Amino acid sequence: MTSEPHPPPPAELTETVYAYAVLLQNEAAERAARELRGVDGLPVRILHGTHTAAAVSDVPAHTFTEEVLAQRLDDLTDLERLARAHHQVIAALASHTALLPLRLATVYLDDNSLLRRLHNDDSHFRTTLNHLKGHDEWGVKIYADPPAATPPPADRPRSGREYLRARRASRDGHDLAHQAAADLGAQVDRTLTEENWATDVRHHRPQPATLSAAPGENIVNAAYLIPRQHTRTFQDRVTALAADTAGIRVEITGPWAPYSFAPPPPEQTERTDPATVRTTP
Amino acid sequence: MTDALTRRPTALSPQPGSAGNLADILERVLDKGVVIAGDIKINLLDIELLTIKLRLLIVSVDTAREMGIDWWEHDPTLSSRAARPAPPPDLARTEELAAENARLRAELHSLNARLKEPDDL
Repeated sequence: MTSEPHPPPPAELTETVYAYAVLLQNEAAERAARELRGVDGLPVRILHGTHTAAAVSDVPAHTFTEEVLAQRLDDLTDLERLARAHHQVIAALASHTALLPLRLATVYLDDNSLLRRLHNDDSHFRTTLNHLKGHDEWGVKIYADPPAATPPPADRPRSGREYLRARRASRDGHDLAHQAAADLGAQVDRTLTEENWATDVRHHRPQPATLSAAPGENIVNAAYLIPRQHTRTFQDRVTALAADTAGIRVEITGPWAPYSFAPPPPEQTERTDPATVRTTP
Repeated sequence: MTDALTRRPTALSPQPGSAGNLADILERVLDKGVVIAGDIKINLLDIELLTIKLRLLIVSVDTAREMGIDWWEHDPTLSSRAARPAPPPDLARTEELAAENARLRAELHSLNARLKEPDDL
């Protein structure tokens, strides 16, 4: 590092606050945050509110303006970098404390602005964080992966009837695999919730084949909120159910921070409400 | 379902979220996560459009190749390696066929005519 003077700060804001998550404060999370690097390789710190805290990075204001952000999110390479950095901070902290992940690119003008948000929705954040404590999110994706029809002899033209029969067999296999995947999804839901291995469940849109590295068609894309002590049982149950089903493939992902179980505050408070401003020392 | 099918192995190794594939990460950081309004406005419509676009696009050509997606290599407008369009029709051959056609038609006509002649007698 050279000791060249930095350009003089413009009169307006030079730094804004990029927020990753709202969390229950504790020592371990605090320590972990000090080791982390967030978006654009910037350090991460914990901003303390009254009962909850937020993980944030101070970012140069000009790299996170509305226009620049729109461009950055539109550039797939930059988007991937941002998304991974955002996610890694959340994942690292989630192993130390209960947290609510914020959506990518949640930026505040300064600490006080974010503290006001924490204050305004304090009871919502505390209730949700206490509910999520000791849980991980796990993903279960079920793919229809119909067994390939008997490969046609490539060197010999088939009769029309043979062709139609093969077509029908392949279509039936396809339908069966679809149905099997959907049925398995319902069965996993039932098993996990009825036996109390999962606290909650969300169903996401199936991922299109172009975005998923896996073969087969994604039919079920579910997220489960699993108490940490049930991690093993959850995996065993899903594996056992999957093993009994033909024509499908199951993928378990996780542990994730509870992205799918972080509900927004009941009602968004107005952007600025000076009456409720209470600065924290 | 046959027993052999039931025994098909199912790959079930859990992947740590931190090393998760990009689709899983984007799905969570863009679509999910508690939404408290930031001061810098991100147009939610833009995010929606973005995710739609992401659902259609592939992050990079290399990633796509790794996934075995290579449709552009078969699209003639995108790749020189794609199948060439059919060669232009051979004009001489076309004329030859047209001539042959005309000749056969004429022959058929005269045969038909000859078949009818006996009745006229």
